[in-house]
Amino acid sequence: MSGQKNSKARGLAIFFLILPLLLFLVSLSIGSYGISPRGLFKAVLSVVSPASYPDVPAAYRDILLRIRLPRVLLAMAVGAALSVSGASLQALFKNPLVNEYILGISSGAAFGGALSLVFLGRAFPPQVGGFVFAVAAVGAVLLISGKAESHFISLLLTGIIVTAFFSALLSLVEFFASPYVLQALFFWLMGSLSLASWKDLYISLPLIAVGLVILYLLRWRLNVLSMSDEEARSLGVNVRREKIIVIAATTLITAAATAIVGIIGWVGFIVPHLVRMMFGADNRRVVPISAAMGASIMMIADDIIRGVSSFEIPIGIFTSLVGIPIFLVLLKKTRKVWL
Amino acid sequence: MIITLSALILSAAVIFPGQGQNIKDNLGRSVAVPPRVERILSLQPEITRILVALGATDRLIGVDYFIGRDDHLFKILFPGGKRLPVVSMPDESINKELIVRLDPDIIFASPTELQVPDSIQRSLGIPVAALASMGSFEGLLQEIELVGILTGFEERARDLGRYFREKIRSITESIGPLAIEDRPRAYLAFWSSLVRTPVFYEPVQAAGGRNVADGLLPPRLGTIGAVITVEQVIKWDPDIILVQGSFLPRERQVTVEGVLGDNRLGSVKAIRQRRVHYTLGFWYWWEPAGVLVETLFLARLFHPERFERLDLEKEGNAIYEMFYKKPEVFSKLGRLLDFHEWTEK
Repeated sequence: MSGQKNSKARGLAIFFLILPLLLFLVSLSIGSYGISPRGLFKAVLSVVSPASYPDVPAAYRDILLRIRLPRVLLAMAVGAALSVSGASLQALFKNPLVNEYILGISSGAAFGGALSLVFLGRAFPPQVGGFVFAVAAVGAVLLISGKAESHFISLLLTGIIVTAFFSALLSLVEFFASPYVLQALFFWLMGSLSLASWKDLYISLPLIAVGLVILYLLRWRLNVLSMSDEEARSLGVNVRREKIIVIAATTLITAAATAIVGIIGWVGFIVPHLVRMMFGADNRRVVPISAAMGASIMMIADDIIRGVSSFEIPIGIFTSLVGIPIFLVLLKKTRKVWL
Repeated sequence: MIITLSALILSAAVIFPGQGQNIKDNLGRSVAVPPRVERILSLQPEITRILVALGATDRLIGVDYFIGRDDHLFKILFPGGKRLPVVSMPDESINKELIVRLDPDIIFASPTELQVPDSIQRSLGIPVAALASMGSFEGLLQEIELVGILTGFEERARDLGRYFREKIRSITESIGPLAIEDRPRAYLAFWSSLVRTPVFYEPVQAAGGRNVADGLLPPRLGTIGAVITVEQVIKWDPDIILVQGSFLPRERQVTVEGVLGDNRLGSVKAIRQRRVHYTLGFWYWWEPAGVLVETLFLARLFHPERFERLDLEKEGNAIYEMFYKKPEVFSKLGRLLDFHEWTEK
């Protein structure tokens, strides 16, 4: 019976790990500009050999290569980043209520983006400012809390204080900003993939990839770090160093994602919970499956947004509206707390 | 994505000079207006501009942060405005103590700031009317008429209304009857983003064009803007792309050069034919003279053969002079906003 259950879980895990690849292909065929799968295929071939496919409209190539491909890749990367970040921090802090923004990343990114838009203008992308200050916010949390990073409550309180501080700075910048710049700022803060481009990927993808690889390699240590510090130490783990590495890696990927697409709530909170509900709390599974499920959920959400109407709902609103009810239903059904 | 939720078209106000009346504002609120309005606090830039156009600047006792700080044109139209107290801030916060000190008879607010009118009226007992053109010519004209009646400048308001209607009629006549396919299809990139666009923009229609996003969201939502995808722009394949240009050049997040150089849009007709231009667009709603000149500019852009002899700079200056009794305002605005093509002969 137990073997049957295990094999079912293994099958489900494999399905979730493969799902992003399938969704990637499906997502490329979804959008307001109707292109048949055959048209898409020809568009791909025409990139390789333009002379052989002179009848492929230029619009097909632009849509496939310059709009859909970077957007789908960004959705995947951001979904994976936020989910793995949430899963890692929940394990690290031994608390299911932790999310990826708990260390002040969102308010730091928002302030950095605002500062950049208001004082540096078009010449300097707000994403860079957003990233720098997201990292600075977490740095401030770690610096202020000192050795308290081993104590969850102290770190959490410092996170709240730093978040409040950067939120106040953001309000100050907004106060002095011209209304025209504010329009751009609010749009960025809403969280959207609508303007995804290769430039965004060049900035964010390497950082997200590095952070994801680090967290993947550390996934078994997260199990150890989920225990009490004494237990972890008795197993030979340098708790302080490992915690700092995990926090640094989660900061890197969350800041890289947030700086590009704005604040997308709930993904990093809900996905790890869904994974634990289905596969248990072993982080050796939770981390990779969270990455795959986060990427899949983000792609599905973006596909719905792109496919259903000509106008666009910011993905952050969509993930919250859809994700929260699903999570509540699952929670009610299983009535468990995982960690 | 709905950008603006304010819904109602300004209800025709039944109000007579010298009599206190109830007016229905754009939020559907009934507002009791005193019989004589001597002291006006305007937190709505469009109304402030109308007050200046009516010659009622001496009634203006305070303004909002935008008109007081950021509206580059207002400084030209009414230099004395910089001495007026600023009562509201970008975060919609209101200095209520200052309002009490200013003691206005009425306050005008924007219907997009949903909480502000009721909040002020409830706490201070001063009538607050949330009024705006909502991006419609008729709404703007009703607003001019209403403010004219409230301030006792109804004759001037009627003159301006007549002038506005006459100009629009003359543009429509110059264009003549148009089949739908003869109307150039325009995409409008407004509000500091390539993908934010108005779903209704009357100047485009009046100038003989077609807004490709017209009707994208149902009018019952009262929406004026939507966020769309870059892919949708390619699908629409507009003949012309119009970028909101009412911002100072250094503050523009979207520029004509940027749109022309955006390789995602390479297949779009407007890009291939390099028909990407600035237009004014909303500017905390409208500025009445500006929207007329904009309509004229768009008419020439859409149908150049029918406006060959139009000297836009001369005509623009005349329109501004009619509204604000100041010479060369349009030329100054053109220089400020770097609109070479507006002033090209």
